[in-house]
Amino acid sequence: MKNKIGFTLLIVLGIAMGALVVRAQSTPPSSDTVLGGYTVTQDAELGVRFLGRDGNENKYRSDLNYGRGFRLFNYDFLARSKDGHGGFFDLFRVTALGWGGDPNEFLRVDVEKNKWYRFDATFRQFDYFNNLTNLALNQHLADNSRKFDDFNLALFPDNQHFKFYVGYTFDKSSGNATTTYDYQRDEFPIQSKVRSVANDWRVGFDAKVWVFDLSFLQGYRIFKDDTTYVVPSLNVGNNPTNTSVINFLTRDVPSRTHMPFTRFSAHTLIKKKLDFTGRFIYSTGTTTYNFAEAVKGVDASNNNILLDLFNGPGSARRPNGIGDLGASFFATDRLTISETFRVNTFRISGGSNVFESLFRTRTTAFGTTTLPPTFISSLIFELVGYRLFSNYIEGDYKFSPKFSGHVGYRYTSRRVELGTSIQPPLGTALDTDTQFNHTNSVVVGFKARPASIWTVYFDFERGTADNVFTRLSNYNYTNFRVRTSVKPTKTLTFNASLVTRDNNNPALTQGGQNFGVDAKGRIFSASADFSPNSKFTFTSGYTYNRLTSDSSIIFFLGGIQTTGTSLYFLRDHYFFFNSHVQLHPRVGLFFGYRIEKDTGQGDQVASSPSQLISSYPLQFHSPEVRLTFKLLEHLDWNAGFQRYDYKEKFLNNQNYRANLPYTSLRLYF
Amino acid sequence: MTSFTGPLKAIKMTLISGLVLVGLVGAFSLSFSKSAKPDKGKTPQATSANYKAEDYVGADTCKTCHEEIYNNFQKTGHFKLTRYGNWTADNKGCEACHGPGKAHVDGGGDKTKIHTFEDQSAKQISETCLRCHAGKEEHNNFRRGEHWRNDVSCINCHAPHSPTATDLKMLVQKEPMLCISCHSEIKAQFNMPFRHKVMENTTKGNVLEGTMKCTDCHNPHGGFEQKQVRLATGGDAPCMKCHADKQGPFVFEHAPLREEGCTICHIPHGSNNPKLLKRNEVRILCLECHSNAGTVGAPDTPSFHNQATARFQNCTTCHVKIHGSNLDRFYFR
Repeated sequence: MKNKIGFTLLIVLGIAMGALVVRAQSTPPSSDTVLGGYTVTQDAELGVRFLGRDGNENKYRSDLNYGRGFRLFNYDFLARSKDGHGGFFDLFRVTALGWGGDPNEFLRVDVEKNKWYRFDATFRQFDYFNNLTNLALNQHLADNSRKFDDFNLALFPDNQHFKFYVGYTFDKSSGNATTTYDYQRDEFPIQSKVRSVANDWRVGFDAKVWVFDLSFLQGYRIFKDDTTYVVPSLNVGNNPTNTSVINFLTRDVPSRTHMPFTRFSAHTLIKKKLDFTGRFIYSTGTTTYNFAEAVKGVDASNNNILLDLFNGPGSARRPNGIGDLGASFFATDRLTISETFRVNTFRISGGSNVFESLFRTRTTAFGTTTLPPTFISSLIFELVGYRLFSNYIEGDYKFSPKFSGHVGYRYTSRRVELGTSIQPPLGTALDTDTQFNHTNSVVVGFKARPASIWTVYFDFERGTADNVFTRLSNYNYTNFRVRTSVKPTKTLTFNASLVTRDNNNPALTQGGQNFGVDAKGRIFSASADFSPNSKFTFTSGYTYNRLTSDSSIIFFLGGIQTTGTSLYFLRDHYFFFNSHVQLHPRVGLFFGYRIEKDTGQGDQVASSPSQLISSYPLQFHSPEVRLTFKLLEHLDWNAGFQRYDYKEKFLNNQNYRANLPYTSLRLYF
Repeated sequence: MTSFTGPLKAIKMTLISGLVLVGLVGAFSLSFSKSAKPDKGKTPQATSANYKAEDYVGADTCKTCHEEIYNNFQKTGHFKLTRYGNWTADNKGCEACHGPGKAHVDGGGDKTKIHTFEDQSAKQISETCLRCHAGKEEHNNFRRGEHWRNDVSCINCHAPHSPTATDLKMLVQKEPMLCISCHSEIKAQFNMPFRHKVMENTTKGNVLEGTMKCTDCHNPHGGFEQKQVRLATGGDAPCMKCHADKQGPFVFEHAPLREEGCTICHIPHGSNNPKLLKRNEVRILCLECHSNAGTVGAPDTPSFHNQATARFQNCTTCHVKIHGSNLDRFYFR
């Protein structure tokens, strides 16, 4: 009903505005307004959006979350001092997007006083919603608000010798969520009140000292997590074969992370021949927390849990140092040799001390018996050590103004140390395991300009490694990328690219099976952009994203170890076009269409229980149209319509359709 | 390993490969056949070394003939420098980039007497900009960056006398339209159901904008990191700037996060899969690592993880704190 009223309103408003258009004088909009000593330009688009939706609301909100109601679509404000001698500022700019009914809201303010300061503030707000049937049994839900604010002040921003910086960043998550808890061999959905805040402070400078450009930044981050968890009433858990229930649970883990960090870099260009940059970053993150959890319910052996109390402190520390050196030697006008070296090392050491007090009773036909209380103290230390050396050397030769090529070689050495000590017994030594990984890769590429309108970029990289820490990462890999751009005229551009990635991990043998991971990725993309004049623009493109992953896996079926394969397919087609046509000096039309279709595994089905085939075939398309009527010199009326149509092939019951008509006025002040 | 290559697919792949190969060979041969003209290689003329105040005429003189350009220039951040009385003429106004204009004016607008950037290579054009813009941490690696190497010069993205007055960075187009005009394959990912909010709103004609920008995560001017990503606080991956709860340190770290980075499991731009995961089912992602043949990789799943039941097909219902936990070495809480 509401939607019908909305559409009727839209039509009536359209007719009325149409009449106004016919009557309005055809005069161009004025550009700048002079206000005091400033030239001011501003415009704002305000309007109402309607929403008609059917299908799965939760999936719609997880993907898009556009709401109905009043909305500030867009706002731009710019004030510049006319003579460069404004009072407190010479430039003031505000840009805003999506305030009101949007889940993603953005506001940026820039203020500048020539020579003296430059200030920017960015405010972003996201309504994060997550409720999906195909993730964690639909038990990990979120309805949160995320806020990110960023403030930066530069003093003497145009000074060639010294610039001073101060910055502050605020990041807050709050709202409701549900998660799960593995307890007594069952999983229980639990509610949580999310509340975490990160504050960053920064101070630094850029300075020119002799031939060096020096940059220094000192920062401090404090992260606070005060998320709480609760089960307020009877919860039987997911496991139907288990007697355990939770009648009541509370958990508090207030944690604090303090992270001071320092960054120093130096750059110089010596005689226009040697460009050198060095950078060093050091940070130390320290997390401390206090844990308290109380549970009441029934355990897996059908004993009554009067109280299961956990508490204890813990902490973790991570000192991290990163050193980078980069040098480019411009040997001749044609030859450049570049060298980049990195060392990165960190060591995360943490300890958790948990003391559990368990009070239980057992109820039988003969009555209730109090079981002896159990007190368990556990102390666990964990260590993750990491050291990386990486070196890349590259030669770039310009054969002609139209052709240059490059060859490079990268060597990476990594060491990972993992250690655990579980106590009691007290004094148990840290059980450590150290792994090494060495990767060698070669890069070859060129850039060619066969004609003044045509450019081709090509890169090829082949790498091999002797060990991997995670099977999904690159082991033996071959990456190939070609990108081309053709610009027959200033108003017409064609782009195309092809990216291929082939990854293999070691083909070890397990039970006679060649045991590896093989992933092949192909992305082809082409687009055209035609903008002959301000009255007509047209952009269109197509992207095909294809991934086939074939991994040998080990898993258990009914307690029996099975070696099988996991096949994953992505066959994603994406097509779009957008066009803007000025139908009349007072009437503009924008229309666009986007469709994404992933055909996934097609008609392939698993040939045996040991084969897992997965893909996510779906179709997601969204047409959009928008008419703009210039009613008055300073006033445009917009009427638009967006539609989102989402369909999944598999029966997750997550399909939805959403119609989003909107109307708005753009005011030019 | 299983093979998927049917005859039709083989033909398609051969055709595509062939077309690419022909294109490359064509580009290669054309580049050499038509590239006899040497690079003129003019060096920027405005240098402090040979500065003579009397060679400079000031931006107002340029305006007399180039009024339209001057009017655009007036709206840019560069223009304010013309008002800095204590700055020498080679560092401000039109002549900061185009060199001293007296000879050009005296010659009645002789184009050969002014620095026009015609016939200059992308690197030479960028060097002109770097005369002033080097020295910021942001630009320290420009001469080793992907854009530099591929002859994408400063003016491919920035317009020094831009008509788009509202853009303080003088970009030729707004982000992300500017970036995807070359990196077109990324656009598809930003239109997938799960994505970072980079192109959410259609504003003013057909401009797509979002609450995030490409430059929030990437530094287009180069950097030491792969993909030219920016670092978050303390040298962490850029993701941690916003996803602070994943930064740790945790008592019990999920080591791949630290060793390989977030992209070992997630596709940062956009994905059809929930949580921007690389696989549509979480268990597939887990099992592809936790299948230990020999000594390589993470430990196997234990025997009671019966993959025939929904409980054990949803790994994160138990291992909820998969990014790292302070309380449980199996990430249960």
